[in-house]
Amino acid sequence: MTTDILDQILRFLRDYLGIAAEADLDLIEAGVDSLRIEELGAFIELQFGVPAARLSLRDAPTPAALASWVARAR
Amino acid sequence: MIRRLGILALTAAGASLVVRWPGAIRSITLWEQASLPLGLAALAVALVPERHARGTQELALVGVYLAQRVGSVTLDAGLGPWWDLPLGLVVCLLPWARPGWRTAGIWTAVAGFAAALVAPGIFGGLAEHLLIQLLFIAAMTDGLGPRDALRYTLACLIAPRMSVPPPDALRVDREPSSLLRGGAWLLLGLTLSRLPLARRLAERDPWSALLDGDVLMGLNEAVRVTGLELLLVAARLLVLAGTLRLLGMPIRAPVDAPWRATDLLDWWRRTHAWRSVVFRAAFLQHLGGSGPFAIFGVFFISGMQHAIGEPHAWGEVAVWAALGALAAANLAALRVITRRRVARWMETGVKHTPSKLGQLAATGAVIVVQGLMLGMLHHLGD
Repeated sequence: MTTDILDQILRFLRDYLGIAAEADLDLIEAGVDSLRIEELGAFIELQFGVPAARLSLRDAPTPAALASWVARAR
Repeated sequence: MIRRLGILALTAAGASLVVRWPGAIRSITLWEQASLPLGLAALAVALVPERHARGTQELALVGVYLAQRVGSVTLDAGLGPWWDLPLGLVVCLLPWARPGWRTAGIWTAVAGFAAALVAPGIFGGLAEHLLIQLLFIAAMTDGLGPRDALRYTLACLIAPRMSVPPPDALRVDREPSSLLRGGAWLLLGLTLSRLPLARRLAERDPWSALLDGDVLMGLNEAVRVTGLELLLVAARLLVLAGTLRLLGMPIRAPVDAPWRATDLLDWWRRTHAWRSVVFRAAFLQHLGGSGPFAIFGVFFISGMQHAIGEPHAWGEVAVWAALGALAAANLAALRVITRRRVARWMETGVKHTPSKLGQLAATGAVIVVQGLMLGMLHHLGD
C-alpha cells in the first residue's frame, strides 16, 4: 500500500509542483517551501483522506517518509 | 594557493579599512564590526589543511568571541555581555529536546513580554533578549551533537543580527571561490562606506548611521530611505552580503525576493525568510501546526516584544494583532484556494498558472496594507 501512496505522491510532485522527485529526495532541499507544503497537504487530504493540517517536513522530509506518514495516519 | 593569497589580501585590506579610521568606529554598523573578525575566522579555516579545519574553526570562533568582548568594552560597541557564553553553554547542556521544557520556555517568554508591557523592567528584558534567543538556539540545535551545538552557539553569539543562523552556517567545507567573492563584496562595501560623501551622510543624520541589512527586511525601514541614503544602503548591503558569504550563506537566506510576493503572508515570509524558519521551528511546530490561529499568535507575541518600552505600547500591540488577523485570514483563504486548485487539477488535469498582472495587483495590495499599518504605527509613535 505504501508503494502505491509513494507513486501518487511522486506523480503529484512531478506533474503539479514540477519537481522531478525520487523516494529519498530531501523535499526542503528540492524547494518545497511553506506555500508548496500547503499544496502538498491539500493533495494528501483530497487523495487519501488524511487531514494534513499538522503535516511537517521535519517529520516526513522525503517522499518515502511522507508515504509512510500517510499510511500510518490512514 | 592563488585563491588563498587572494583571501589573505582581501582580509588584510578590509582590516586596514576598519583599523585606519578609528574615528569612524561609532558609525560602523554591527555588521561591519562583525565582518572583520568573521573574515579572520574564515581566513584561518581557508589557510589550514582540511584535516585541521574543524579544530581551527573552533579555536578561531573562541578567539573572535574574546576579541569582540574586549572590543565591546573598549569601544562601547555593545556587542554583548560576558555572561552570554556561559549561558549559551548552559543551553547546550539543558534537555531542551523534552517538549515540556520547550513549552515552559515559550510561555515564560510570553509572560515576560506581558509583564514588561505593564511594568518595563529586568524580567521583560530577560524574556526579550535572553529567553527568546535561547529558545531559538535550542530549536535550531535540536538533533545536533554537543560539539556541533557548541560551535553553533558560538557562531550565534559572535554574529550580531544573525542571532539564529541556519545550523549549517560556518561550514568548514566552503569553497575558496565563495570566500573570495564574500571578501571582495565586503571590501567594496567597507570602501564605499568610507567615502567622504557616505561619512557626511552618516554624521548628518543619526538614522543613516543605523542603516544596515535590516532595510531589506521589510518596508518598515525601506520607506524611510531616500535620495543619497541609498548609497549607504548599497554599501551596507554589500557588507551584509559579503559577511554572509564568509559564513557560507547566500543573501537569500535572510531575505528572499520580496517583489515576488503573491500575498501578505508570502510577503512577510519572504522579507523575514530567516526569521520565518526560526519562528516555525521554535514556536509553530512545537505548539502544533502552522494554522491561522498559530500565525495570529506569532504576530501577537511579536507585537508584545516590539511594543515593550514604547509610549503607546498597547496601541502598538493592537496594530500588530490586526496585522496578525489579516495574515491569519490570508492563510485561511490561501488554504481554500489551494484546495480548490488542487481538486481541479485532480479532476481535469488542468493546472493553475498565475498571471503576471494578478501577481502585480497582489503585491500592490500587500504594499498598501503594509503602508496603512506603518502609518498607524508612526501615528502612535508621534
